[in-house]
Amino acid sequence: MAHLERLIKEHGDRHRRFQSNYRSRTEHLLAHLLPDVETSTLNRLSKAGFAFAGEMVRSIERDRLRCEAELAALEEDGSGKNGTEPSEVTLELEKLEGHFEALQPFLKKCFDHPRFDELLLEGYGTDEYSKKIWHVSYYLDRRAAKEITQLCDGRTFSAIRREAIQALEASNVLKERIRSLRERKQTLAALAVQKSKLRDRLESHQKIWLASARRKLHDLFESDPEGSLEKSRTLFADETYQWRLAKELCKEHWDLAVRYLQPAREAGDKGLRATCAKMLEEYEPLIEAMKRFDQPTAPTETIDWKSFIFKPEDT
Amino acid sequence: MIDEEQGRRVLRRAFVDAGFSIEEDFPFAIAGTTIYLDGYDPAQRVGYEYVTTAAGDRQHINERVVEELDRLNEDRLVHILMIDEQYIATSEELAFACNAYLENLSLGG
Repeated sequence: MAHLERLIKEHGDRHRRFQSNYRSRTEHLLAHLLPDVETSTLNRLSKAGFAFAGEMVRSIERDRLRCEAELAALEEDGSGKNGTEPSEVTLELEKLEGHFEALQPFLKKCFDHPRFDELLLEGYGTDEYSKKIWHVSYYLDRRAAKEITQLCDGRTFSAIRREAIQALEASNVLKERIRSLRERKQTLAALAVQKSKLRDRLESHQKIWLASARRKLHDLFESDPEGSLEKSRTLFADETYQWRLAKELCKEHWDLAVRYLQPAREAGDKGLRATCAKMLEEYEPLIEAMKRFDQPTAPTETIDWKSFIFKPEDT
Repeated sequence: MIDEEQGRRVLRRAFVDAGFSIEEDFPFAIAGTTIYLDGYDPAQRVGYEYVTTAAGDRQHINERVVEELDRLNEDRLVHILMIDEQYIATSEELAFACNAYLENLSLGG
């Protein structure tokens, strides 16, 4: 059983190397087929039968033009008649917020009195005040007005009233202006983000589309390996062959595990030692044949024996 | 707000302390009807009415009655303090306003 476990472990390690080799071969082949997304490269792929490449030439151009047009429109919005620099907006906002804040202590002092609001509405301190001396609230208003004048350093209620109304009106105007500037600031920030995204996309345009084209091609090789091989072979025969070999190695190596190692372990677990031994007997020569395709890892000896054993074309 | 009973108590004390002979629920003919003032000194023509919803005052002390009372007060034919419970938060507030009115009255206001 120890022998079997060792073989299973070795098989697993080797399989990971085959898979890694397969990934490298795939990348290598994709890099040959698609070194870039220049029109000539894509047209060559298209002529070889990869239809998506022809459509991609048009998609790339459409996307580039769209990004350029959007960026130009945003630049125009930023520097046109509505254009204000974010720093100007921030400065203006700070200034107006300062004015707004300066008005608040006085208003707060007035409105902290529970009756101030009512006195304003009733017109106390003006000819509009209509309450009569036989109305009890007349006396309550009078007391409240006296308390408010004391809070405001003894100024007359009429003066306080005028100042409060002016401060309220100014506050409302400032509040509206501040709200509008905050909105503008947010809009400008969103605009800057959008412009930055578009510039980044244009700067990395080739890179983005190259990754997308390689993904597409990779998916084609995975979904239709035979069809893709036929097309690829006409362009890069050697790289295509190496990729196919790596793929088949992976598959066959995995099959060996399924056909021999897994049944051998099941037989061993059931105590069927003869069956287990027979499975391994069949497995070992087959795996020996496959080992010659196994890629060496980094040399661990002073003399790189592996480079003598494996020829350069094997790596 | 303070209720009808509390309000009447505060008002009665203030008016009596000021020297008025207050009769409660005094029938008072006005605007073609008769209302019952919460407190009134018929000899001095001084009194008060504490208007509360709970006592049903708003049905009797209607707009016409208030208008007429205002006119009588304006012409100094009577001196009736009108109090709407909505304006009064505490007994202290009511006592303050009532005393201010009585002081005003004593000064001939």
